[in-house]
Amino acid sequence: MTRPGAGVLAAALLFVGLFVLGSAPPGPLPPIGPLLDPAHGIWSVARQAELPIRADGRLAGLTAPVAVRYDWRGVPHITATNELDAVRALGYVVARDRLFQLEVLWRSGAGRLTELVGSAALSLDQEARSLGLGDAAERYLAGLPPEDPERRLLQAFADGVTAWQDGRGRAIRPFEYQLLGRRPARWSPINSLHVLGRMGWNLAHSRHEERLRAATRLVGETAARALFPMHAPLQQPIIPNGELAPRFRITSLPPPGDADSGPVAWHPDLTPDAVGSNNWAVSPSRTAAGYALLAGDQHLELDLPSLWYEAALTVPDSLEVYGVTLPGAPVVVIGFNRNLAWTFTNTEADVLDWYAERVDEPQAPARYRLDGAWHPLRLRVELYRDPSGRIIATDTLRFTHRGPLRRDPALGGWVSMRWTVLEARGSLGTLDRAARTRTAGEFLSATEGFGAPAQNMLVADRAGTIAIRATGWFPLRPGGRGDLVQLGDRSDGDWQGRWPLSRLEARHPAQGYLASANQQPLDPRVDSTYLGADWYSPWRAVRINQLLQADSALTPDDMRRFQTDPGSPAADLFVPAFLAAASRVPGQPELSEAARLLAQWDRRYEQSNTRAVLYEAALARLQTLLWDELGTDRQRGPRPGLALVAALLRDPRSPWWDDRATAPTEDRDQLLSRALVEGLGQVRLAHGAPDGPGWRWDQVQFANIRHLLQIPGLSALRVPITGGQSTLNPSSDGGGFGSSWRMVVELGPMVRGWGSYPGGQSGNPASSRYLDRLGGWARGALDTLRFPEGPLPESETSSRLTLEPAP
Amino acid sequence: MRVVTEALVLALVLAAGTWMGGWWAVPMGAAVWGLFRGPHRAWMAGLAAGLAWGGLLLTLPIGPLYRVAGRLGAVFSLPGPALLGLALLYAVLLGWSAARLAGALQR
Repeated sequence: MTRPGAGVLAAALLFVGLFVLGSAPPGPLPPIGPLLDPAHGIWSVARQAELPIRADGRLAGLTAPVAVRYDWRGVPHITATNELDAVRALGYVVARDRLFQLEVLWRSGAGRLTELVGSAALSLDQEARSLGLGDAAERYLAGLPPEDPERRLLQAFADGVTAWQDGRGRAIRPFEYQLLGRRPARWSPINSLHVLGRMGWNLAHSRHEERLRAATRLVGETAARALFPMHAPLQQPIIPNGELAPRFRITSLPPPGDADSGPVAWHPDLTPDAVGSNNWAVSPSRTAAGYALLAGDQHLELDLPSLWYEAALTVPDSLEVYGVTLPGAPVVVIGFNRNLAWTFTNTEADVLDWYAERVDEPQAPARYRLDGAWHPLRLRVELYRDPSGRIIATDTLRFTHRGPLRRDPALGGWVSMRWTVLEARGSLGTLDRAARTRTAGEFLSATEGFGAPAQNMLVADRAGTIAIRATGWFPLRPGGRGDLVQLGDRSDGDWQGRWPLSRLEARHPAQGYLASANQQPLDPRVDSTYLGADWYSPWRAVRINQLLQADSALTPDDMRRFQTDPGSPAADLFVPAFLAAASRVPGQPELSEAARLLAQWDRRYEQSNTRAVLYEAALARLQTLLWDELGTDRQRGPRPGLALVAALLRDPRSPWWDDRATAPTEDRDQLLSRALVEGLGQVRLAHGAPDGPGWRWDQVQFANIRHLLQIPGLSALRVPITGGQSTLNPSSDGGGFGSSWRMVVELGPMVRGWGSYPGGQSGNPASSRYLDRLGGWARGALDTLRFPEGPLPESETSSRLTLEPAP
Repeated sequence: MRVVTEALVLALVLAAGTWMGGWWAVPMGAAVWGLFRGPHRAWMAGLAAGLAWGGLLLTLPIGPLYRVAGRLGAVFSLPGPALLGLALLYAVLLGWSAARLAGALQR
């Protein structure tokens, strides 16, 4: 071949290679031509990374211009002449900052992630759709008349998002879309319902029946019911019961029974003490300034961008509210107005029941039996598509009058599910009305219709009233319990109404404060009706109560400090138990050494402490040894919460202390001692010598805030934090859960607020506002939330946006 | 001087094409150039493509551009500036190969 011929061949090969890479590369790589294009590709997101000093936009549906001023923290302050215009503008600014997040959130609720990311998300989508979330959202929206206030809110928000998508947002695709080689899907009103459905899944999807059933197979029914009781073994209820100290309800357990010969479904994720949220409010009589104080922090999955988006909405003479919205929700979910502040924790009630159904055909049933007659199942065919629109899977969903039907391998048949999340109505509307209330009483009235996910709604107003109520639809069951699979062939087994909310409410408490941390709301001595089972251990509630009782001149800064308080009531109880046990088992040098090291701990999870790691290892080991009847670390069954272990400490000879794998019968002290020694061995192996840097808590415990696509380069990983298990700033699931929005509000003549979340207002990884709050959040610092009367002053305005009605 | 002017004009055309139409304006524009100017000036198409994309990158705010490069680099486990260089190299090679091929057709 001649030299020119070789040159042409080389050019041809290179050109074909580059063109294929540029337009349709094999494998997971996006087409790199559009990706690297400096005008429209990934570099172009730099153009929209920072807010311009001035911008304008057109928005269809607006009745008058809307002014948006961003403060120095990137928070939009929206001023509109009517509320729907304010919500339209909210949709616009949320889309401007968080378009990709909006799409991920609605798709995860609708079970349509595969259309964005491909078959990797198929199992997630199948789970979402089998729960009936998409079906419920469609049916709900179809039932809303056009003039319904909630429908108008959904439409207004959609107007705003699509105005951004069709206008300025069209020019530049956000970073993640560029990486995936996709285009944003157009927003529609139902997407907001999908977002809320997703939250319902996160917060109200309990698995009590599975847990109890698995435990019953392992240790028999009597023991299983004692391990997973209806009422919390340690009582410090949300609704004050007149007792200032927590109270143990039980002091002994029935012995373990024989294991069932049937197959056991192992449940590594059925952990009862997942992290949860905190809130508390203090009456003016216990604050330094004489004004009510309110604090809240929602502990949820930590993502980038953050789950929350801050905004202030003002409509003269109608609405003035500051707070956080869930991107996709057309309302401020948590926040404050000129007269009151509110915040939530999850109620953790049981709002999901299973019914064993008789069906006409075991493989593909078409009918189910009810009250002696066959009834047709409602069928719905679900198609799963990949990003190109190709169908990659198909499911047929079946519904009884209760809800979705699914096969239950453990039961060997079909079960239908009834779940308040699929039935609740009007939750958005109640939040919308709540933002305009002026007193705590009005707030509680406005939120009465809130259905799901049920929340412990805490409110404080400027008149000094503080109140809390577990709010949502709490079913009343004919059988009294909801943690057992019910028989489905009779309709008299169905729910028979709902709890009256007044039973779950407290106002003007004599103790001068109210607090919730996902614990059992009502002391069963006051009301033992079934509301849920196997409640979170109330350590955080105990700690909040300790802190609030100890000081009668509380300040907003105390509230802030408490949110990352490193103290642990669980450690206060278990560390002395370990040490006492070690002192009663003499003659073991390794045990003495472990006890000596543990005794050096001040029982505070500060970042610099070097002994919390030993306690955590010993405690984890104790639970593995103690619950050997319920499986091993590798093949783990459901485990009771730590409060039950604490209760068991009072029964040193309980047969549960025995490790069945060893010949002698162990008692409490022997098992505690062994757990301590083995814990020390594990920590030495993992972290080195006790005086080395590996034992520092900030080398052990982190927040890991992952990007929605789980890409490490877009995430904030190994962020050192103060706090640990059973503290007010817990972290779990490898650091993936934690405090998602901290807020403190003082209800004085001028309402003042402080807050922070891990991340930043912008979802654009190229923005300086993508992670700007992370450092402060990790330190437990709060920013001042600017909420001036009248427009945001010029000196505090970083950017302006004017939205005009589209012609 | 004429060569420099030609290269700058071609760079402007390729930049405008990219701005208005997208990345494929580079191979299209370079191929047209190759058809008219022959294979021996293909290097100029590569140079112009690099200049065009480099110029477009310079219109972006530098701080955010640096952060995009850093984030993108973290995604692909590469230094951020290397990805900026890769973008320019892609344009250069695409422009050169398209012009070289088209130039061969002209002959």
